[in-house]
Amino acid sequence: MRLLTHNVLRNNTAAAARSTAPLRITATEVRVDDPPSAPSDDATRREVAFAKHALPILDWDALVQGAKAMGLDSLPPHVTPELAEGEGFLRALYHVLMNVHLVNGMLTCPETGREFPVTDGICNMMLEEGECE
Amino acid sequence: MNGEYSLLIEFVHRHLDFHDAELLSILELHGINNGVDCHFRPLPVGVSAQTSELRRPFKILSFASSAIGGQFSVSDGNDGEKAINLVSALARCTLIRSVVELWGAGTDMEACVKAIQNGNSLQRHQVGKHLGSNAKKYEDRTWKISVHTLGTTYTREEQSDMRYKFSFLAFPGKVQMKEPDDEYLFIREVELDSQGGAVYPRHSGVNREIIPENDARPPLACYFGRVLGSMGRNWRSQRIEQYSLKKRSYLGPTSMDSELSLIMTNLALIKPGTVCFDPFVGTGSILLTAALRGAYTFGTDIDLRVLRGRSKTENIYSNFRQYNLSPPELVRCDNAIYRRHFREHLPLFDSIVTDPPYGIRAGARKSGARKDGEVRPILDEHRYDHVAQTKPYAVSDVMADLLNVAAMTLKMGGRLVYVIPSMRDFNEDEDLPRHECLLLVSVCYQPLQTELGRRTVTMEKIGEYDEKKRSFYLQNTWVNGIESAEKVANIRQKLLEAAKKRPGYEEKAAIRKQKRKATKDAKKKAKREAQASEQDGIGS
Repeated sequence: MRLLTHNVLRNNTAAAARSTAPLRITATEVRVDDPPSAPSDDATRREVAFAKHALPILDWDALVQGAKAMGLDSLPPHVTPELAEGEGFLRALYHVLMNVHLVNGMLTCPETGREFPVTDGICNMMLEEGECE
Repeated sequence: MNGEYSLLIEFVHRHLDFHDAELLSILELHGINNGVDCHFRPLPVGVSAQTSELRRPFKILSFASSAIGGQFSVSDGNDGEKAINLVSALARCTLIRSVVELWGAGTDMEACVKAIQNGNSLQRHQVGKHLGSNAKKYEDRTWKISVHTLGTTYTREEQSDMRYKFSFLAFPGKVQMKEPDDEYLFIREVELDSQGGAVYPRHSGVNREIIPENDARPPLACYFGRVLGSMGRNWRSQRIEQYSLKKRSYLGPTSMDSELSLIMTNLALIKPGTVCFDPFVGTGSILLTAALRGAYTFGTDIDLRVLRGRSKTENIYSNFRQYNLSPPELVRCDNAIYRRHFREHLPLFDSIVTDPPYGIRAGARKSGARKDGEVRPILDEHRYDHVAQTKPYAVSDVMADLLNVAAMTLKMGGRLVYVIPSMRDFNEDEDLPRHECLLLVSVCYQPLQTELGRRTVTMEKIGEYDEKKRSFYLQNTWVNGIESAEKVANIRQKLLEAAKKRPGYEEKAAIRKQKRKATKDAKKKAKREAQASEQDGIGS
């Protein structure tokens, strides 16, 4: 599970009273894919474009928290407009969003304590019968 | 027509209903504006043909001559400009067999020859501007003429006679049979039936005797041109080979046949850097094709077993690794309650491409107790591995939820492409599910069995999603209400009923039951033996 996915996940069951709080990550096993040492111009351009398009929809605080839980401390607490234009920043953002994988761990709802396991990269969001409403 | 540069496109004789839809999607994908940059021209029609219901495997696509070598290119060499290469664009069409630079077309051989003589294709070729700066000079270009007679065979001599008709072109270069610089193609088109065979076959049955009336029939059309897409006969199979289903280590009973998933990813306008979502990802065959086209992929499914695959080396991830692709995002969740798991309706996806479960090979499930009211609380120690109860998910609801999720999560202009099974009583105009935010782009029918076919539906998001109208959207999915929904739902039952009526059903069913029991017993036996030998090992 990547940080981009974590960013858009929520526990929206009735019990959580539609809270919009992101899930807390407890990481047991993390895998970081190394970016290619000499990416083509095309690939770089695509990464930058992707990061640029992703930026507006991101819950930045959730991303910073999530990245910390996965062992990454490098993200700034806020994104200024100048920062958002920089190619270096965008490439680093792409790396954090797409190359860092939670292989095994747990996502916990801060409101209810409900846990969603992540096993072998697959996040299990299945709700129990009673939670479906 | 002079002033125009025309391409003759030949399609394969499969997925007939998909030809136009796929081609139009490919043009759009490459920024080729149909009606502005190019136009479809009518095919020549022989006088004797009854062409009203005739489906022909050709299309003529014309561009302004001046645009070739400028806005568009047809040469193999990359001259470094931003020209759109028409050959590589069209190569992406799964259903295109070949692309020919059309020099002349007519209702018969003479008309075709005349068209060449009246046109300027030869002169253009002699100048060779559109061939690119790396091209060999006209005088040095090796060549050959191939003959392609649809649904009919001719002897070597007869083919030779046909070639001779074009000797007036007087190419100066040497003839070369293997990989010449220019392969010219003479095509003789006749009426074809739905299987791709000639309606009026030239030869009869076993003896291969010539049927005089059929032999005397004039052709439907004759075409002559220069083959683009330089690998000739193997051009198509080489393009498709890289996507072959057979190479994958993890396949399941519901894995999409790779040709259809290639077509679907074209209909969905998938290109590098876009994000593709499959809400019923199964074994990931569609996502794999999307990833091969350069998309970032995201898949969800309610079935944990199919997501995990058979083992660590036989699962969706291993398929992606096999092709050296970045892994997809996989989440186990229920599409029926998409909103429970994800933030407010974010437009996240450029495309949604999926083969929803329609209860024929794999039953659709959604979360919730099988019998409403029977909910037992799960003890914490069981929770981790608990397989939540799922209840059957009516196909009509599957479709309604799918369209609503698409309307919610697609970017504006993004495409939803899905497959829907239909029996013969299906009416495309009335029975397809609808959504206010989605525009119907195309429907392509593929027959599967006598009673059953499936339709590949393409929709485009044209309206912003309004969460307040959610119930309205869901209620209005089926225009004819219950009737249309019913046609899609319960297909498995209907198929079963139809099968039961066929003779021999009882015997076949009994045989299948026996086989199942035998396999089950064999498995049990093997398990017992394995356990017994384990215990022996521990004991000694």
